[in-house]
Amino acid sequence: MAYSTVPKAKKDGKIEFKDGSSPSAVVLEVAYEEGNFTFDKPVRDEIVVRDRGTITTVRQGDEQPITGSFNFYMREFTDTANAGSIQDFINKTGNYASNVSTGSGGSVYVEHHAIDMVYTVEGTDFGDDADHTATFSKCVCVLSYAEGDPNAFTLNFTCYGGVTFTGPT
Amino acid sequence: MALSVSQLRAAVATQVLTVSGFTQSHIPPDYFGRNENSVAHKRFAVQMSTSNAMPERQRRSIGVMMESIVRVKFAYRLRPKDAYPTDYDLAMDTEQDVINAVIASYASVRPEVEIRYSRTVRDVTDSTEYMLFDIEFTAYHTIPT
Repeated sequence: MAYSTVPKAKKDGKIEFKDGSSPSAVVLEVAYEEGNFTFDKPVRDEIVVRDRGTITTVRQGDEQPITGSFNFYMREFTDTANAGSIQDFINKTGNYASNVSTGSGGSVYVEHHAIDMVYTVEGTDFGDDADHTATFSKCVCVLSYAEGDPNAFTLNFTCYGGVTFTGPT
Repeated sequence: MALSVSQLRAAVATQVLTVSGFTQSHIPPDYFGRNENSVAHKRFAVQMSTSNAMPERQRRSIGVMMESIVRVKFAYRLRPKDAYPTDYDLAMDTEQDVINAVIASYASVRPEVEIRYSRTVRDVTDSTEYMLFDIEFTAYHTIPT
């Protein structure tokens, strides 16, 4: 099928958290969010070499992690009895106290509790051959909170395991 | 966690009915107070004025989260010899009771709503027989899918 002709909107997006449990990961689908998911995927630092002011060479410098954020509305801080708390999921507390970090295995060891994050954009509903996903591995998440109408969290994440994109093949 | 606009209206009406002496009007709220026949002492109507989308995804599996403007309109009779200041003050005390009732807990009515007081418009009819209140609230809720 031809390349999609339908620009996607925030209504088509979905964010899921996954822990490192095997064989089946614990999954939390984020609900009551603004729909403002963002991420930055930097290239390696650029080391610009000049010869008396003229650029002659650009070398690759340090690798940089992927960062991103999104907002969601506050419903509960924590809940031991019921699944659903994002704060519990990223901190391994409450109902998610038995979760397993995704940062403990693999080539990049992350000592912090880390999760995988799957951002899915609907595609098949619009005639695309598949939905479109971006899977961020080994994300360390930090929350900030602000009162308002309604109260809201901002989740900032740093992804140390890279991102994998999928789409129609 | 879902509450339709009609369920929200009914929930607010249930709260107002807890205030002593209040009964619900049979006149649509948009016409409440436009003529003397539509009002009576402590009659009220709940108007679902407008609903606005909240900044969120509006995913079909969750529903649409919205900010609805809820207006409670009621009449308070001013007795001819005590219209002002006695009944005028009593009317505003009653307004306070209505506000407290509407922003009270909905746990036993409909737990899926967050509601805040916004403002009141007060007016006395030309005949000076009634004081009319238009109390505006803002409610946050998600309509069912």
